[in-house]
Amino acid sequence: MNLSINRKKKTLFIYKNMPKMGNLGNINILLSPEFYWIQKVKLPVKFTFQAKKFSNSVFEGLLPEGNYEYLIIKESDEFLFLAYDLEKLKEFLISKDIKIESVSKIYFTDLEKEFFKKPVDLGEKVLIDIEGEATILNKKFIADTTLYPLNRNYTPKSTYATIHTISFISKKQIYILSGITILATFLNFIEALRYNIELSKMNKSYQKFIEESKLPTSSYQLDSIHNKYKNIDKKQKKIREVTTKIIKTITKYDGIIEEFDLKDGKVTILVSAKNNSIYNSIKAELGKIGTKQIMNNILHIKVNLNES
Amino acid sequence: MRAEYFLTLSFTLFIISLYYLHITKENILERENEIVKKREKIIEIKELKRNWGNRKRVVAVIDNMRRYVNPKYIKNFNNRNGLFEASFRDLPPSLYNAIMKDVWNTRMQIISFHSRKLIDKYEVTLKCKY
Repeated sequence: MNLSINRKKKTLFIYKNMPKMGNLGNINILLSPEFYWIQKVKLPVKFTFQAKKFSNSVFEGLLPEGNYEYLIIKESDEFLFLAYDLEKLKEFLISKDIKIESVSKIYFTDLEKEFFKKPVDLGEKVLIDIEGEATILNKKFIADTTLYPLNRNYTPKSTYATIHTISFISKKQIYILSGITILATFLNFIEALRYNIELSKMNKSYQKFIEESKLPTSSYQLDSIHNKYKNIDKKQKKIREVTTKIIKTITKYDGIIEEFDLKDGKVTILVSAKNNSIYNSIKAELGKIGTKQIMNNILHIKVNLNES
Repeated sequence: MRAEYFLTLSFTLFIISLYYLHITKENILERENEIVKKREKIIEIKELKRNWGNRKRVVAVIDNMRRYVNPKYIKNFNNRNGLFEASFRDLPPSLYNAIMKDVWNTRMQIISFHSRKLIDKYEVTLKCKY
């Protein structure tokens, strides 16, 4: 997992005989030369990624057995190779009570000339500059040299400071996880493709259906036709329902339709009958349908079909 | 490529694929709903058209009416361009009922209908559209 770069993080110098540390929060570490090997070589390649292929051969026969990571930096026409055993480094950090997940970046002392310009006192040992290379020596070899205390507030300045990150899951686990994620991604795309095929089938089937129906394809035109026929249906059904009900009621009670008029959604029916009780029966059966009025011994039924 | 970058890239691709899948699902659901609604509307329009736009059936009924009503009862009988206008006089009750039944049972749009009983005969004036 990549941890973000934070320049305000403390940098802890890591050396073999360092004391145990407590919880330091998120830190960067600066490795003493005891933890890595360095080689500077000329190669017939132009770019770092091309040089990476030569990492193993550059250090061939030089490194103890281990699982090495390489950092390659291009310096004018040469490449600087740094090899370090990440697993061993992790073990060491754990042995010093440093939480692996709290480490963000690893810096290398050889790339921080400023840090070891003056001999640094590391207890029994000393970090010293020998011909431009950071070297750890036993104190007894440099008895007369003035030693300086370890600068605990040092912030690596080198432009070549590595931003290499320590993972709290192994590389193998990362690849497995990536593989699973890629597989899931692939399945998602397959599923999406299947949906798209379905969608295309659906569109084709709909297109065929609409062509067979000989109707326009646009929603606006369809709505317009639908509304037109819906209104006709509603109006004409109402005419038939209401008039049929009235006529049936009149004939049921032996009433005689003298006049029937239907115009502009208004129905007027004039009914004659032998006696008033027939009128009353018709009026009662029609209930709330229209208005009923007896004039000159004729029953006038008026219904406005435009009223809902 | 470092393992971490590879993982980050694969996660990013996974998220993109999830989003793409989601969008595709949404699209298909939306389209499906749209198609279902349109299909329902088309089926309804076809049904309504069958009921109110079947010219052949209406014309057949009108032609038949012309045949079964004796010309002596016809004052006016005009059937053109989807408009049927007719007026009848001295119709016996059986013919009156037959005309009324044809108009009411056939899906022609009744614009106006007027009938008047004179002793035992009927006068009818009607106007329909189809």
